[in-house]
Amino acid sequence: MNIDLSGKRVVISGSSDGIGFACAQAYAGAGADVVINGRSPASVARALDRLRSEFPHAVFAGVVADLSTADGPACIIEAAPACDILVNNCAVNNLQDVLEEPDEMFLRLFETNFLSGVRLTRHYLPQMLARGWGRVLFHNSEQSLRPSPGMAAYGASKAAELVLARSVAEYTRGTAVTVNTILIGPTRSAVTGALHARLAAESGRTIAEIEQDFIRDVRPSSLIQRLAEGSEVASMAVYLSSDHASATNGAVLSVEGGVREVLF
Amino acid sequence: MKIDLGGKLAVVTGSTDGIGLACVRGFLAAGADAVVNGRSRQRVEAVTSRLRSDFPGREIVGVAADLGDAEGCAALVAQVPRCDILVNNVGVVARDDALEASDETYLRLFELNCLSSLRLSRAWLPGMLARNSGRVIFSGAQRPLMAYRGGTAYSASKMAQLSLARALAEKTRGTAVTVNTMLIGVTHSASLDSVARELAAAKGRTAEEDELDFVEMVSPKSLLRRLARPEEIANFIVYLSSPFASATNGAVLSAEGGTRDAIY
Repeated sequence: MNIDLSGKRVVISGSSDGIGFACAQAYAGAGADVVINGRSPASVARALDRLRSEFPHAVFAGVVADLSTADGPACIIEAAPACDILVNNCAVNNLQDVLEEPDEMFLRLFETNFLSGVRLTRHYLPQMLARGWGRVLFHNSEQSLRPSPGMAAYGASKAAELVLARSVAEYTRGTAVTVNTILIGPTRSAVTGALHARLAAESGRTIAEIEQDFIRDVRPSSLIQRLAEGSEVASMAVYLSSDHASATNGAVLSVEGGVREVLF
Repeated sequence: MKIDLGGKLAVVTGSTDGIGLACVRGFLAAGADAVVNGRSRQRVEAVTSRLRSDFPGREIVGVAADLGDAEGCAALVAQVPRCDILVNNVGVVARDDALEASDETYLRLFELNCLSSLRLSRAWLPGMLARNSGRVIFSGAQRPLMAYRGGTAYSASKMAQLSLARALAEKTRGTAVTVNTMLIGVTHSASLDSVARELAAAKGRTAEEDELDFVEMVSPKSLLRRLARPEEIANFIVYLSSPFASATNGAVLSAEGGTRDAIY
């Protein structure tokens, strides 16, 4: 089975590192033109350099934009007015006890993790429907379905996004546009990488040991018994973006290593 | 992205037509060898000889066996000592209302639609675990997740199968073997197409002319607004069988055209 996305343009929010960056690599590998986004000029420039050296024939663009306000999505839309595939990947996390987490944090995470997806989808979905083909993907988290009191604002924002994705899918009835969610579990990402590096430095242990402890103590239900790689999420995103996935719409697809012990 | 399953042997139960046959074709096209199974020896031979001419160079084995009892499953296993990819696809439908279906119907559907998967998994999963490589995929149905008064023996057996799949996935903890379920909605098949033709004929129309009405009747929430094609299911099964899907385990994945009116 060959997946060729030549001629398609993909916009990936929050893609200067982590899972979003892995997606940029996978889409470029499948022949798509890729628009990446990150908050800092330096991180976007670094990501573009790396992508251009790894995929010299691919077409890339970078947009520096912070998606925590309406200005951020507007910057992306201005730089890339049209796309065939939108990957709503951008999200921020906050580790704090639920009763201590302030309103501002709930609002900030809701705006960044949820509303950025609304704002981008509002712009790109109508053109996909008009062209008769398109893909919108939401990168969600098992935290939506098994929330923890230490990251409640994150969990709530992502749970809201599950509903958003299914609602947006209703706009695609009878078309060749699909809207799906990828459910992500513990994965090596920019956020977990930084956290585990800090924990390793504090405890004098290796990052590999910290990761193993995390799976054993915090996610013992994991079937794969390891952190997933960003590339494993990206493979699913690329598959769902292909014509092969034409009967998968309004769905939630797991790449969470089986940490969720329930069927639904 | 290129999926190459060269050197793998895929066994697809109930594969002389419909989704099963589409899976076999998908596996062969991706480079795998395949075992075709059906109840009728004549039909199995016709299908294997057609496949051999379509896919020269692949090893294609046909096994006529009725998997509705232990002997049938044992007969299949006896001819296929090693299996890398098992697709538990075989299933039959019964339309009786819940309280009108006989014990015999409930038992017969449970044994074929659910227990056959366990019998085959018992035979082949240990080898996959020993080699630390393998895939078990269940053809699951979205129907048991909806409320109906009829078709209960079918829905109950498929719900039991969903649970069995998740239980079997637990046996793979920490390995590179995965066990997943493909959730399938209304899809073209010989039996469904003949129902659609009959209903359409009663209105003096062809099945094609009547397709939207048929979808509206059997699956009013469908986003696809048409029956899925067997290839659209097989594509996802081939993807899940590939190394790209390494972080998807114990999951239920949708290729049901958005027919399920729920996020979970």
